Parts: sequence; structure tokens; C-alpha cells
Amino acid sequence: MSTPPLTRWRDDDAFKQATGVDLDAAAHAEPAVPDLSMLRETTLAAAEAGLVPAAAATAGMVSLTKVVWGVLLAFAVGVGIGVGASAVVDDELPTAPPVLVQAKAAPAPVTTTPQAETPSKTHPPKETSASALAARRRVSSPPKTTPTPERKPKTAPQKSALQQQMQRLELGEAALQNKRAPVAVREFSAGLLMAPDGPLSGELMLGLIDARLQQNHDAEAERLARDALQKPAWSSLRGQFEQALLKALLRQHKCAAAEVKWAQLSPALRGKWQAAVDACAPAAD
Amino acid sequence: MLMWFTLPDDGKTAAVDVADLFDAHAVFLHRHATRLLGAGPHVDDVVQNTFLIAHQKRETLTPGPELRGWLLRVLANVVAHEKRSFARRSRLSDALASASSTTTGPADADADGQAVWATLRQLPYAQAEAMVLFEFDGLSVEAIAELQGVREGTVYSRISKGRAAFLALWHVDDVDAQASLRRATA
Repeated sequence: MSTPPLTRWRDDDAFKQATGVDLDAAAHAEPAVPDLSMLRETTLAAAEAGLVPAAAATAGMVSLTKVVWGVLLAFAVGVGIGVGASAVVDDELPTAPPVLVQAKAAPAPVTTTPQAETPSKTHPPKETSASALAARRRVSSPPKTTPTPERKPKTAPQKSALQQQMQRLELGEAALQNKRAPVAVREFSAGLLMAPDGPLSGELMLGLIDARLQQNHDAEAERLARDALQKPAWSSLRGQFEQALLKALLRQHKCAAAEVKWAQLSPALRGKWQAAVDACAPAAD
Repeated sequence: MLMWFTLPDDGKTAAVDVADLFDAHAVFLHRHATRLLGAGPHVDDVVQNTFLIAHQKRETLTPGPELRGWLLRVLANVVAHEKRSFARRSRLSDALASASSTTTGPADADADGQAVWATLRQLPYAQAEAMVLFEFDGLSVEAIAELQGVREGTVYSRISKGRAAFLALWHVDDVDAQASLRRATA
């Protein structure tokens, strides 16, 4: 009745040597937990504000009445703050020191590495999204005006391109989740154009195929997936591209081709698509 | 879709303070989510959403150590809700890690470790979670069963299946390795 105790891989040296699976190295490679004070602050602020995660909202955890009252309350508070702030600004305008403005409008920095934003003296709007805050911490925002080549930082231009690609990827994913496929297509395409062979290009292409599928442009998705499968640099995403291709084929009722593609999938993935391939009507092929 | 988790119910309920909850469990949850999803801002989102849901359910929760298991299950639900996106972000963080490792040239051991994490993250969530809790947190099968809210047999099954899938992804064809695997999963 009792099950024999499992041996931990980390304690099995013979296993480690035979397979090369080194969990000790993995334990050393994992990043340390960052300082969570900012996350704590934003989480508590979001909780106080009554923000609802998307997952919870879809589960009906907040009634419509509460939402309506929340919106009305937020509007009332906003109007109150606006009136109060304008009154304060009106009172203080004559005494505002112009020197501070001049100090802020100093010439552009000549340092070549992007600097972290210095905190503003005025209170910024409270940000409660953890990823937005984290992004602000980690990634400096791109310049609002189109930079001339001379103005670009001279060090690590690749990193900057990588960050911009990542930003496109994030925007594209957000658009995909919100069922805004045209926006997603635009973002993913722009990211791909920045660095067609960059480390994120495979992910961007995968997103672009997803967006095309969401637009019901199945033939285009099929073409993109086939092209992607030909690219050796994206071989690590092969399974993903094959699944996308299979999906595009099935949606176009290309059953014979889908069956061939299904046979090429790993055994673990075949089960996921078994029913869909079986249900594909041969007559429509 | 999200509401299949169970709430601890001892008959007596008291409101749980989300700040206390955060202080007690945030580090564990953050580390756990990073292991399963890869480092990045999305981990902050997952952890935050988990605590926001806890805040919403605070009236029905009972303070105590068993809340950690409940939070883990909420976190799993939050991840499942945006599974596709997180899977992509996970691969993205792995790609970024490998990209940075090629430019800075760290030790091989680090690359080996990253490869283990990248492989683990390709497993089904429940299996990867069971393996992480067993191998890296050093928890017993009984403790994992309690945390995951399942029976011990299910945990054994998840770890065994996870190991098999892991090695399939790792491309273990070696006979000795297979024998060692059988011994380890026996």
C-alpha cells in the first residue's frame, strides 16, 4: 500500500553524470528574489482602490452595482481633487519660482549610457500596475522624438534595439489579448523589422502568426509558419511553429497536410491535436 | 473559469489583512512564480493579482499556515488564465537570458542551470510545480500534496510524468541514464 520514497535527482550523482541534468547548477543559476517593497506598495494601493484582476473579473467576483458605484465615486473624487488642485495652483502661481524651471530645462546630458529617471518634485499619478512600474524601473523609456544618429547613445546600441523589440512584443501581446489583431500585427511587424535576426524575432514571428490567425487570415498564417520553419535560427521554437501551422491547416480544412504535420509533432503534443485532426473532414480537403 | 479553488473553511472566519499576507508569503510566491514562468515583470503581475484576489476573499479566509497552499492554487489559476501569454513570456525570458549569456560569456555551469529551467518551464504547470517543490524546495510528497490540494498518489504521478517528459525534452537516449531514471522514479 505504501509507496516507496522518491529519490531526489539532486541526491543522485549517478543520474546527474548519466544525464547531464545538474539541478545544483540550476539552483545556483536562479535569480535572487528582488526587493518587493515597490510591489507591496502597488499591491496594497490597488487593493485599497478596489482593483480587480482580469481573471477575477471574468469569474464574476464583482457585481455590476459595485462597478457603477466605484466609477461614480472615482469621478466624484476626481472632480473634487481637480477643483482643489486648481484652487491651490491659482493661489500659488504668482509665487512659483521660475529658477526651478530653468534648472530642469538644462542641456541634454552628454553621458552615453541611459540614466534612470530622477524622481520629480511633483507627485506623479499613482501607478498600480506592477509590470508598468517594473518596466519603468528596468527599461528606460524610448525618446519621444525621432533621434538623429548623432544623438543615439554610443554604447550598447544592440541592447537598445532589444529593449525596443521587447516593448513591441509586449504591446503586440496586449493587443492580442484584447482581440485587437490589427494592432498586434502592426506591433509584431514593427518589432520584426527592427532586427529580423534578433533574439526576439522568433517570438515576434510567433505573435504575428497568432495575430493573423485571430484575423482569420489562415492562408497568410500558414505561409508565415512554413517560412518560419525553414529558418534554422528559430529551431528552438519549432514545436510552436508546427502547432501554429497545424492550426492554420485545420482551419482551412487541409486535412491531408494537417495529418502529415500532426505526425511530425512530438508525441506529447500529438494528443492535444488528435481530436482536431480526426475531426477534419476529408471531403473538404 | 477561475473559481475552482477551495477556500479553507473552519467555520470560524476572520478578515485577513492583505499586507500581513503579503509579508508572510510574497517572497515564496515570487520565487515560485519566477522558477515556473521565468524572471520578468509578468511575475510581478502574477503575484499582485494573486494578492488582489486574496484581498477580495479576505472575509472568507482563515489566517494560518494553510493559506500558503491556497495562495499557490490561486497563483496557478492566475497563470492558467493567461497561459499562452505567460508561456511566451517564459520563452522570451529564456531567450533573453541566453542572449545575454552569449554577450557576457558567463560560466558553463550557469548555462547548464538555465537550460534546466528552460526545460522545466516547458512541462505542464502542475508537473513542473510538483517537481520544483520536490527538488528545489525539498518538500516531502505529503507536504506537496497538502500545498497542491491533491492526494499523495497524484503528486507521485505528477513528479513521475514530469520527470519522464523532462528527460524526453532533454533528449536522454543513454541506456545508463534510462536505468538511472527508472531507479530514481521507482
